[in-house]
Amino acid sequence: MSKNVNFEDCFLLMLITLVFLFGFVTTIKKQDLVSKNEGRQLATFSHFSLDSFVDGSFQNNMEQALADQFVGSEDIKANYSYAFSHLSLFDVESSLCKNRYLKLASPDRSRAIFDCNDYILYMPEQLDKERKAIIEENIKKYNQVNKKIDTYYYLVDDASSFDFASNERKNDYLGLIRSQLTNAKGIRRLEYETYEEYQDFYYKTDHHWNYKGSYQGIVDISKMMGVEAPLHNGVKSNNDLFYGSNARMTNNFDYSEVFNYYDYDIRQHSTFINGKEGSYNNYYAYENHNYDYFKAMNLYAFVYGNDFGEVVFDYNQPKKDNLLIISDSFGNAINEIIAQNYNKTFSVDLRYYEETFGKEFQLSDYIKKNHIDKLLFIMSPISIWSRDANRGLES
Amino acid sequence: MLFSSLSFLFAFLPILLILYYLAKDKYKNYILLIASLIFYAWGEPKYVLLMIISIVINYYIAILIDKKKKNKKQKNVLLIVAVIINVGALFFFKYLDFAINNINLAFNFNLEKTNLSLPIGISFYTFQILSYVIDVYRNKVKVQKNILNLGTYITLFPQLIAGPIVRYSDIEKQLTHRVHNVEKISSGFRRFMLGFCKKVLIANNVAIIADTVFNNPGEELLNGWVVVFALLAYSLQIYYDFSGYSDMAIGLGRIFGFSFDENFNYPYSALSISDFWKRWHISLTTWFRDYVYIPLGGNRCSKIKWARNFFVVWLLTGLWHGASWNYVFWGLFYAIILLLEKQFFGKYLKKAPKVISWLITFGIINVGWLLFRINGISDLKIVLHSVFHANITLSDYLAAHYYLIPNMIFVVLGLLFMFPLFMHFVRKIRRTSFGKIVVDCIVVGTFIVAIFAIISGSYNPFIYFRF
Repeated sequence: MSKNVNFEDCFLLMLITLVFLFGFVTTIKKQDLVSKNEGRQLATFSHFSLDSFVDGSFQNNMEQALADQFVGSEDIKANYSYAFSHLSLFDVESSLCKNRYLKLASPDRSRAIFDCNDYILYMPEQLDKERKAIIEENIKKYNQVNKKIDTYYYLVDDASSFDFASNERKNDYLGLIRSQLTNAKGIRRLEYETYEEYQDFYYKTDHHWNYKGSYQGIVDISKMMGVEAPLHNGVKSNNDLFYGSNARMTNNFDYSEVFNYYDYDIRQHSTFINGKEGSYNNYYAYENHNYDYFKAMNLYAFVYGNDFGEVVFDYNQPKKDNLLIISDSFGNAINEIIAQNYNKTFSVDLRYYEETFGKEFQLSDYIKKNHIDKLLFIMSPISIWSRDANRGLES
Repeated sequence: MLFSSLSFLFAFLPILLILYYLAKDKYKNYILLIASLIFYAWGEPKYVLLMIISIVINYYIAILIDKKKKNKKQKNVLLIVAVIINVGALFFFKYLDFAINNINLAFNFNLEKTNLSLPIGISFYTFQILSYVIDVYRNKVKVQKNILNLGTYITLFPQLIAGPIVRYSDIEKQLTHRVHNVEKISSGFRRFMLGFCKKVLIANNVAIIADTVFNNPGEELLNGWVVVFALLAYSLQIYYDFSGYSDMAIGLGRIFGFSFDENFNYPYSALSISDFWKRWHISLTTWFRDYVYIPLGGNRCSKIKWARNFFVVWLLTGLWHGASWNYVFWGLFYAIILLLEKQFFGKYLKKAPKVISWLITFGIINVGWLLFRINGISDLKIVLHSVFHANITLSDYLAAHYYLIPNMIFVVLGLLFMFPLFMHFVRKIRRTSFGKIVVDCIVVGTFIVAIFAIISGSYNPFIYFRF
């Protein structure tokens, strides 16, 4: 190699060596297992095997692991995407947003900002034939199995059912359920007819209902089932900013709101999560600041409780009925409160049941075994047409 | 493996650099050969065998051709065998299903397709192998008696999967004697980083705009301006993607002591279509010129034969890019345009103000890319219909694709950097030592941003998460 070297070239090579060193540090540092921002397990470096190399999984995993484990990866992802989405030199948003949806980048469902507002919400989505057929099939199977038990259905309609620009409902899920669910004693939905009403019931950046929306759900369900709605003692807050799922999915952390929740007097009861005794909600821990707050923290799940295959709330009131609630995550905020009017309430999330118990949920067996008197569905639109969220209802 | 992957940047390249520069000169080619095979196997573990077989076969055929130097008949037979084997392999993997599809359509047959995946870079390395064998046949180069050196040439990872098509004659000497110095390594890295940024920051970002419109044109309510803008985005995508890859290849070549010829020379600044093709994918156009066009008779023949040669070359150029009718149409489109330019409107382009010549040329190139990008005639009809029958306002479209607005910034950057003026300005700054350091810091800074872009590409949040 020639010995004639100049400073500029050496300087450049030094900079490049530094960049490569980051890669080297990535491979020797302790590997992170979970991303707080993304809420998923991170890829880690795997051992080499000829089979994994031939089928390409070793290579794919290595690429993903390098991205996930790169020094400062979590911050890089958050800051790069933030900077990228703010690249516009002109205030394009304000010139386009009036009474319009501004569609944001999102890896799964379509999300948008509407009418120059600080809400990130699902864009209106027309129910297609395939999804409609799944709903009909789900309910038809259920009708065949269950003809005796009192059934109630509560639909938590989200923003995807409504086109706020034209103020028209895009999907009449309620009508569809009413026409299909023949043996129901009550079918209702969380009613909103305008964007303002929607805003009242939902978080700014999360797809779930807020404290007002979930309380409205409690009131509606209690009325529908002929029981007294539990009262709350007013709003509480730790003044934590809540950046919800829609913020995480669009990596847009411009908007947030203070996380509020209603204070309830929840009577003494036993809780069994997936068969083990424990505590479902985290009101106490939250009130006492027993948590480490971080920006992308899922406060909805932390405070109200998480998704589990089965949660049993035993209020030990043998004279009252046993209730089975089949719900998605919307139920997390209200199931424990509703359960106060019943002896035992079995809350089942069919998306996780099979994975947790290693067997498929069987509705008729479950009703018999647990002496269920009433059945309540609490479903959002995506769960209505999901096969996962309805698996096992036919048997 | 892709150059724009983290595995390449932070595993393959640093390890190879250490091994390569620690090794004695006589072992450097072996290290490159093994590294190149690993590089290829990373993406195509099964097809690496195909490449090794191809190297061995062509090595022996070239030696036989050299041995039969004086026996023209035998030499010719051997050359034909080599062409049949190489082009046959290319046809089998790349064009057989296309042919079957068309036969089935034309004759109402039901022949089964092979559904084989295309070996990465097969079009590039087949042309490199052919250039070697043909040049040995023509006595232009000495036969390579060391199979490992020939293997190094064919598999050389910088240009293996996306060119440029490096001819054996160009690096024959470099295979055994090449210069390694700090200046060459640093200039190689500079070029590599430039290409990396072109690919990751510009091509990848403008691609999203083009893909949104052209992937499912039927599902999009299009506006004429949107189509034009998307087409512009696609033109920039293909340029920055391809030239970025060539820059990376040339840069990596320099890092390992090789000097590859330029493959692009500001093609979008061309003032005529023939000028464009002197600047675009130069290694391919010169390959077709030297190994197809001139052997067919070039332009030293009757006008009819010349036109035939012209059409053959452009038909093959189109087909080389892919086994689909739109590539055939794209090739023939250029054959017609170039013939018309040479015979009729070329002289007017020369006389016209430069801006007008550029606008016409760039417009034609964009129409060409529309043929290249579109998935079939039905999509072309939808897109063309949208251009003239706008059924959505531009602001409605922008709102419905609000997430694309940051990507549009890269279209502007792409337009700026496609002219030589920017690099001219950079060269001016680099005249002083301080200027060089400033430019290098900017290049490395941009390179880091591009790495961040790749890392951010893995952002994949989970909607429900349990802590």
